[in-house]
Amino acid sequence: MSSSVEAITVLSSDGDEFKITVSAAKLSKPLNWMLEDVCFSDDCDEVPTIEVNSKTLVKVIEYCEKHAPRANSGASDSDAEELKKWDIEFMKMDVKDILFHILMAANYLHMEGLYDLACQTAADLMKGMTVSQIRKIFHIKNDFSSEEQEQLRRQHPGCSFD
Amino acid sequence: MSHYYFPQVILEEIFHRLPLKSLVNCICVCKSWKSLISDHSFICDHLNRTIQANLDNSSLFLFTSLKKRVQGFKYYECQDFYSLYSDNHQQSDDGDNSSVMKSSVIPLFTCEHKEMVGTCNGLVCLADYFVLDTSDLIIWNPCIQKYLVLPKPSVIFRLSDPDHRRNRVFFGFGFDSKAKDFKVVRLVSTINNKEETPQVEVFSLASCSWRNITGKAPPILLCMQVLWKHQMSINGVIYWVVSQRRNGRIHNFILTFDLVEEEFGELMLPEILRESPHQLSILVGEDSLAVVHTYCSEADEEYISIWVMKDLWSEVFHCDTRRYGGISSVLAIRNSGELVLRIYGGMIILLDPVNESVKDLGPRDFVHAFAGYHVESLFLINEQDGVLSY
Repeated sequence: MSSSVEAITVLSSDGDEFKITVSAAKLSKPLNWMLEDVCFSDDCDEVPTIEVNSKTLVKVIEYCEKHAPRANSGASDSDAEELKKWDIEFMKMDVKDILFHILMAANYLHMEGLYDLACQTAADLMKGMTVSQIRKIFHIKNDFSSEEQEQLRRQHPGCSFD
Repeated sequence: MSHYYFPQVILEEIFHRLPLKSLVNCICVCKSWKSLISDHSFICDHLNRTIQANLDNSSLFLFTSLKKRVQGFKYYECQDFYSLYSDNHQQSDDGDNSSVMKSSVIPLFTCEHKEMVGTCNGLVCLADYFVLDTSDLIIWNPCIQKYLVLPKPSVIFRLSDPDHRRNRVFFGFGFDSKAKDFKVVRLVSTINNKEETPQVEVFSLASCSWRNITGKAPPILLCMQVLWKHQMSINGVIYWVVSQRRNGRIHNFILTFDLVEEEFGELMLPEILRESPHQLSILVGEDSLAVVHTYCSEADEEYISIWVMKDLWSEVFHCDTRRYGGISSVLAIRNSGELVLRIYGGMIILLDPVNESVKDLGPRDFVHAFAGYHVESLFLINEQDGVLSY
């Protein structure tokens, strides 16, 4: 890889082009491997595709750019505190629309920090939910028969169904 | 409507971050979630993650029986309660910032003579010591309100046997980390002033049956002053204090039972306790083996001393029993050194011996009180082999 490269261009699954700085890209293992690969050398004009849609990729890149300075150099406690606050704001997003896509993307791109954050956000969201509310946000169909449903109610008296 | 397809690893990662109550809700969402969460390896992973997340914040499990006079009658009724104590105030679900959770009444036990054998990985083992020839046992998960009444063991005594009154039963309860299985060990011996090899049976929760392993235990003597029923399991080894006669003298030692190998062993007590004629027992410790010794000084004053085993035995607490309002018994010791004490007059306190601070742990006016350590777990969620909900 040429050292003169400071930002790379990637394509989303929708075919849109995105720029991401090298230091930010290093937060993802697969992107890091790509960096070491020939495709970012100066004499290569092939743009790699990331299997993440544009809307999600924007958020992922935003996260990477914010976290890159700390990940690359280490940070003071006050920075960590500020970053934590930023994460909370960053995660205030529509679940169905984007959070689940971020989860999948973070898993696919091996981004530990973002994956952790998204899993925790999803879990926090589910904490106060009833069974039917959980089904709704995950788009899950109830596949229990009415007899099985009755049995579940008997077996889990502490469970909140509706 | 599109269905989100999540790889199982992502779902598991989210599930591991949920409190137990939400996990139970998730079981009822759909069949695939139910089978994922009810899977034994998921339940074991969940336990390990919960233990890791609560390393510095173990919860105390307090079990108390209250006696209430039945109105208009001359007899008493027993009601059982349990409560959880944690230093982490946020643990309390109902939003009241108290560190002692509300006591919950347990509807499943009616007998009056029950005792807690011990707690392990979220399960509680209770025994009914009243009817000696049956000794009913219950394994119970208080967090998900499920319990199992164990099948009857095969070593039983007949009331027609003239010696049956001498029979004594005691138990051990712990987790075999290799087989990932809970086990109960039942020892039957007699009080008759001579050493004998106890009859031993092991119950495995996975197979829901007893196995007789008599012959593996060394001969033991059950002495009056040793509270041999008290047990503790740490990392898959169960500990009791028992005695033997050596060179014509009573010799107290710790009998161990390895739940993986199913082998008995012996551990030395601190020298000063080996021939003590005073009250001696295993103390419920968090991660370390501990014993409690209650003895009288020459001036006839009663003292309590507590010894903890870390590489070597060391005395960590020594106190006149008249202090702190009069110590009736020591129920548990935490890694921090704090002690759970039962005070005369009906009170359970948490004492920090270093700065002598005392916290009231709530329950009062009880007839029985036991303490153990608690962690939330999903064991028994599957309701196989006769597990019941209440």
